[in-house]
Amino acid sequence: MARTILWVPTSAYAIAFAVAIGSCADPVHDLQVKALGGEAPNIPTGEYHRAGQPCTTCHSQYGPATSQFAIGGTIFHGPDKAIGEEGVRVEMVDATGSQRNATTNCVGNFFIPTSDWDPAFPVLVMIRKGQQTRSMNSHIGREASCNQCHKDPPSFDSPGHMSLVAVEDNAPPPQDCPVSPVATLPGSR
Amino acid sequence: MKILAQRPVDKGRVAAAAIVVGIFAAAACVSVPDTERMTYVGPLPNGQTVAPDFASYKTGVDPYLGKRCSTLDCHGQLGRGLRLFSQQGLRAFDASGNGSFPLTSGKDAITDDEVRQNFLAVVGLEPEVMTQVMAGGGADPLKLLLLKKPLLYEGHKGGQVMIDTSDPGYKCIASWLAGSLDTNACTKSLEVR
Repeated sequence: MARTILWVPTSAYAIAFAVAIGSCADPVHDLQVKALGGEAPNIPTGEYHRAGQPCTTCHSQYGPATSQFAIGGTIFHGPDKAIGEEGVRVEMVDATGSQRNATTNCVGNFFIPTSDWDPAFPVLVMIRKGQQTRSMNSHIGREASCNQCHKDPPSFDSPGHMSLVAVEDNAPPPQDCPVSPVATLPGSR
Repeated sequence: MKILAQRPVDKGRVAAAAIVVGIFAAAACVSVPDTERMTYVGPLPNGQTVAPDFASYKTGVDPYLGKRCSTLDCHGQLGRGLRLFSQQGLRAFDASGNGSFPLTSGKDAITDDEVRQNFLAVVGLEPEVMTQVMAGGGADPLKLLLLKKPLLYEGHKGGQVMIDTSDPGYKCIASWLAGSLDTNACTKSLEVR
C-alpha cells in the first residue's frame, strides 16, 4: 500500500504559527505598559525615570524592562506637590519577619531587585527621614508597585501619592539632582 | 510520496458521522446531578433564620475582613467576587443624586452603607452554599470559599491568611455563622498583622 500524506497549504502553516505566537502575548499587560506613556523629556531611562508611576508594570517577569523589582515606589515630600524626597529610608518587613530597607534617590524613587528579596506577603512598611516617620496604615497584600495604589488624585480607590509629611510645608526641592525632582502627576498641585 | 486523491463525498456517511459525534458531544455535557444542591427561601420549620446575622457581622466580622482582606491590592477592588469596602481601601459608590464616589480612601470612616454592602458581598458570594451552611446551624462552615480560600484548602491568590481552624479570624467568622459570635476571637483577630 502506497504511503500517502495530506497536502497542507504553506499558508496554513504560516497562519498556525502566527496564532501560536499571538496566543503567548498578554494584551492586558501590553495595554498597561502602553497606558504609562512615553518617557518624560530630559529624563533618561534609569533610576530617576517615571517617578510616581507603578514600577513593576514594566520591571517584572513580563517586561519589557530587563531588571525586576520585588518592591518599588516613589516617596514625595508632601501630599499635594509631587516633589521627590531624597534620603528617605523605606523599612519593610514581610510575613516571615524578613526585613529589607531601601533609600530614595533625589526624585523619590526606591526599589529592591528581586535578586535581593522575595518577600512573603503581606508586607508592613514604615518610612523614616531624620526624626520624621510615617507608617502605612494597612499592609501590602501582594502589589509590588507602591504607586499602583498610591496614585493621584486621592479618590475612592487611592489615598494619593506617598509623602514623608502629612501636611504640605513648601520645603525646597532636593538640590543637585541630575534631573528635575518635580514629577508631573495627574491631580497633583 | 503521492498526493491523496480526492474522492467523491458520500453525503449520507458524513451526515451519519455528524449525528454520532453530536450524540457523544451532548452526552459529554451531562453531569451527575448534585443531590446536595438546594435553594431554600423562607424560615425553617423551627423558626431558625437561613441568613447570617447582620448586627454581629458589623461588630465582629467586618472589622476583621476590613483589616485583613480589604486592601486595595486584594479584595478592595471593584472586580472582585468578594468585594470589600474599608476606610483604608476601596470606597463605595453613592447612587443617590447624580451618583458619585464621595468618600476618599484612607480618610473618611467606613459608613453603614459600606458595611451593609460588604455583608451582602460575603453572604452572596455563594448564596446556595451559604443557605446550606445556615440551614445546618453553621456547623459546617468549611463548605464556604470564604473560609476555604484563606486556609488554602482552595487556591487563593492572597496566599494563606489563616493558619488553621484555631486562627482567631477563622473562629470569628465560624462563630458568627453558628449564631454565637466569639467576640474575643474577633478582637484577637485584629491584633494579628
